[in-house]
Amino acid sequence: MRYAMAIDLDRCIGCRTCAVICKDHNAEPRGIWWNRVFSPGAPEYGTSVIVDGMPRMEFVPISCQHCENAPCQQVCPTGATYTDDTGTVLVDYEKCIGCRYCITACPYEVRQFNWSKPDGVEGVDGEYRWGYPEDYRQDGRLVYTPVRPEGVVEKCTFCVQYTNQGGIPACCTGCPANARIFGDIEDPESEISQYMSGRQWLVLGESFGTKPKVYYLPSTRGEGE
Amino acid sequence: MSERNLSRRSFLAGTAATTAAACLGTGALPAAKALAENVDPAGEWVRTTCSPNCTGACGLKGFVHEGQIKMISQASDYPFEQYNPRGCLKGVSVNTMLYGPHRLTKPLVKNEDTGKMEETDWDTALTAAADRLKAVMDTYGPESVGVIWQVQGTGHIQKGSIIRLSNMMGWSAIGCYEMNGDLPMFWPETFGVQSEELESYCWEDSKYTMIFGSNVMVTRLPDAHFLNISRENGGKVVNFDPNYSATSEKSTEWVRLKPDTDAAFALAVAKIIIDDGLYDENFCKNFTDLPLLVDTATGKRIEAANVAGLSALPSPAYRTTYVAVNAAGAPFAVNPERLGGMEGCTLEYTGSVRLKDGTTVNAKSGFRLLRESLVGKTAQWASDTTSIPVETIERIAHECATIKPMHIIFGGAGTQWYHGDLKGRSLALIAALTGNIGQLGGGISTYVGQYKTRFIPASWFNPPRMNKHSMSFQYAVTGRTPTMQQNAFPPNGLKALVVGWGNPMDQHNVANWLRSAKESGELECLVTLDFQRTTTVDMSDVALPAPSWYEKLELTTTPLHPWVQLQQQMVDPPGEARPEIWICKELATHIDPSYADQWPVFDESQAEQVADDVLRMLLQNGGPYVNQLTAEQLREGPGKLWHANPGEKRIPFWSQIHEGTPFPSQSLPNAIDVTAPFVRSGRIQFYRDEDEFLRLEEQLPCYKPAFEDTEYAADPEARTKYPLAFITRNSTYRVHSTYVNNPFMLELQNSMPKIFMNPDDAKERGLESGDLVEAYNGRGKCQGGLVLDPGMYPGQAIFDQGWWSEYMDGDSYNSLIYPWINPTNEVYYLSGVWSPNMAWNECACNVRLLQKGGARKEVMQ
Repeated sequence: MRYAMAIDLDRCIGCRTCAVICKDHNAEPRGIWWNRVFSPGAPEYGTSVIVDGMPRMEFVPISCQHCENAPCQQVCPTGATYTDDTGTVLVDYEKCIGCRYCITACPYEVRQFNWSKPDGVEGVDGEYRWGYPEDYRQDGRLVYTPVRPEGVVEKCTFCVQYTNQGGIPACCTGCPANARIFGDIEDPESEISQYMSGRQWLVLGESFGTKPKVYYLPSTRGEGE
Repeated sequence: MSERNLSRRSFLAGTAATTAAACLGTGALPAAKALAENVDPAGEWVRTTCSPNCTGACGLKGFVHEGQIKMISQASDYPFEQYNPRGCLKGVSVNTMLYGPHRLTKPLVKNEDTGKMEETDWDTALTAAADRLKAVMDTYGPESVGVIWQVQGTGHIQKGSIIRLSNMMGWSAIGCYEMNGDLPMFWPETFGVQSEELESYCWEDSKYTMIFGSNVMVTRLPDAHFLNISRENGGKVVNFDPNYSATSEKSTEWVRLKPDTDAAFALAVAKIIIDDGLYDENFCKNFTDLPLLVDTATGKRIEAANVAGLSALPSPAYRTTYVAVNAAGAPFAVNPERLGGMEGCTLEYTGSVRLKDGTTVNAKSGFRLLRESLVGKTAQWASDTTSIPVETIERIAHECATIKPMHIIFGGAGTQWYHGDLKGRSLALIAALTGNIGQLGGGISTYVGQYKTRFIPASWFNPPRMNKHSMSFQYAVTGRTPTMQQNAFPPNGLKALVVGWGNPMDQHNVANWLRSAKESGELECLVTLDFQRTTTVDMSDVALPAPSWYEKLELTTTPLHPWVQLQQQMVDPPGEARPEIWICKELATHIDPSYADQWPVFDESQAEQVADDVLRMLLQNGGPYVNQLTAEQLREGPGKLWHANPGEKRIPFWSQIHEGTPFPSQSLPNAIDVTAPFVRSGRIQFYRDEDEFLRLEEQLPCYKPAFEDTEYAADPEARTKYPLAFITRNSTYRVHSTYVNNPFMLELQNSMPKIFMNPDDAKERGLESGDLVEAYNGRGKCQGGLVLDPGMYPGQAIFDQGWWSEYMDGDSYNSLIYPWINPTNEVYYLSGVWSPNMAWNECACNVRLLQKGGARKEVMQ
């Protein structure tokens, strides 16, 4: 079994619902985003960049690529970052010492360091915290906790608290454009295998040799329609 | 990965392949072990409906843990699979606001000494509100109390309570559809209806979609994918927009045009369709007023009752029998009660008609007048006006006339101009000439606001003793006009405002009128119900805390999909917030105890049960649209509205086009007799012969440029002083001013209001990206961080509206805007249907530097 995600850039409308539902379900602290959507080259969401004399506004959602050859894992001195049996790259918060070598090693800049930012918002009953409200352990390793320890690195887990129980990541259930497909890429009958079958796809930064398991189906809009 | 090093080139440099990845290793899912070492979180998922007036009405579910909502997901339970998942970034993070710092949890009353709002108990707050309102009612009459309750579809039980309250007190319901600028006036002018639209799942049935003034990918976010599906099905989507938008990116073709020139394009297309014989002649004859004769001397339609040898056919008083000519050139009376069977008439006629009084008048058919009006409207003229290339205009004219079904989406950015109705009339002309009206996937739609009443709500809205009034808010700002309908504004003016679920002190503070009226005392009383502590709450005399849509029972609908849904009480509202049904009943009886018999008898603890009773009553008495649905069914998930036409999807005007029923279709909750006079012929009317239309030479769809009749007429120097159009567009991060304080949304935009400009406009003013700048005119100002967008058409300053004042140094972006009233909007008055519409975009400004480099840096890098 190898979990993977396909992102159909033709369907992606750039709305960032994936980023927000990810943050809401995974208790991401203020200022931390495991999942982001870029308009490459543009200064701001909703603005365009001139490509070949014409404005464009391509949308590229980016989160952990769950690389088969994960550079973050190779540089982790404590084994906090590891790859589980499904191919998901995870961080054991209890083993992470906050050295941030992984942040330097990751070419996708998707790992984020928790500089003791506030977790929630001050509100009606003191502090309100969002997110899946229980710890989640895998083989004893703390791979999710709603209250983040200070000084550790965090990132997308493919929503391990859901996928380990047969669910799919929040960004995939929550994409209003149905642009994100998740599943076992080794199973030819899986939704992701079926979706990608016969379709052109690419991975980010193939030259890095990281072998990501997030596949992008490029937009063909404007090319001979 | 930052945007700095993720260039488009490097992103696309990845190798493409055509088979699925071959991956390494295998492994069984350790589910049992995972479960053993983890506990399932205590709590449950509960379904509700997110409905903050964005038109989404999205079924969402929240996870309730220890009395609080911790996570939100889409419910994804719509029987029509492509509607799943429905819900956007704002809706799935509203939990951060339910318990956040702006949550209103206690009744507030203004301390007259300090001017500050202070917490108090319910009885004190209700008594204070009642005393103030009663004083205004006694002094100026009850109709001087204006009521804002957002719009209809977002709630019928709790929001229905404030309508019921207003309808018993004799207060004036402020037509929020037009106050919000959402009323597309071309609809009543052309079709006699409030507006009509395809539900979004019909978009996938369109083969050719033209979008004007609507950034669907942002403002109809949960529906937007149906345009993708249309494309995947082989359809073409063409987006007409001055600016390159997300919708432009996702369309097959983007057509750039000069702002507010859509009508010029549409008229040129109409001319090509007519000149090249591409029009649906029988459609024009059977369903439009184009065969009807007009007296060329007076500009008035000729009535059969006045023509020698003819007489009016039996019909209700709200219709008129007009005249067309048969193939032999003889006039005949056209039945206003029955459409169709007119294939034999002459569409294009010039001649004379003898009247009963013995005189003869020169007459032309509407089609002839239309052709003559289009003589100069060549593709070259349109190209000069719009900046669209001639060949593009000609190609699209042929495509949209020949590819069917063809659907036009005409959005708020198009309607919200002084001459917005002329654009809509011109575009509707294309939809009718091509015979697309009444077809699945065809026609013209407007998606602005969750205004639409989709069943009969009278059983709850109308109390036993009715005292019902309405008003147009714009007259509060402009004063009475010579051309207005007298019943459109109370004789003693707007003296008190009761606001439910609205933030007018930001959203409707046009020309700074509301704030200055409150400060001067002209607006003597402001009472607000809300679940957030908005600018309006802070400026109120009394503020009453209400539940959010996760904390009460409410019934919702939307124009965008066919599902009737409930908001359900998942959790108790925090603090002392109480359901509106209880608040409204208590406010009524605090004003006058004799109103107790106009309400069910209940105390606060029974409010949820009474809301359930009202739900059942509404369903039972709502007419065929909903009376097949049960409360139990809706508690489980969405229930589908009934529609008259065969097939799964509702088709606007199906009965008119396929059964010969005259226009208009009914605009609920109004009876047909109040809207039918808008199209007395019973047909789609492109020709309007009311005096005001004749005076302004707007009998037929035409093009008039921006600002000439407004800003430049009021101040000729505005042409040079304020050379930019101030466009206050909707943001993906807000629904009007709701969600402005959502911490996730704030992070995504660095907590900073922004002003967007074309780089050339900025350079001309010595401005650079990252500067803190100010848009201003003679009426007001607002500030923002400057963002340069090369995809913008020059000549605009765009501000993403909805920011509360506290995020803007106290400024109000609407202070720049003035509610210009177009006299054609005043020919009739029917609140929410034919009424002066707010032209937000008809606003000239300039931009200047406040602080070099003063804008904050983007937080997302």
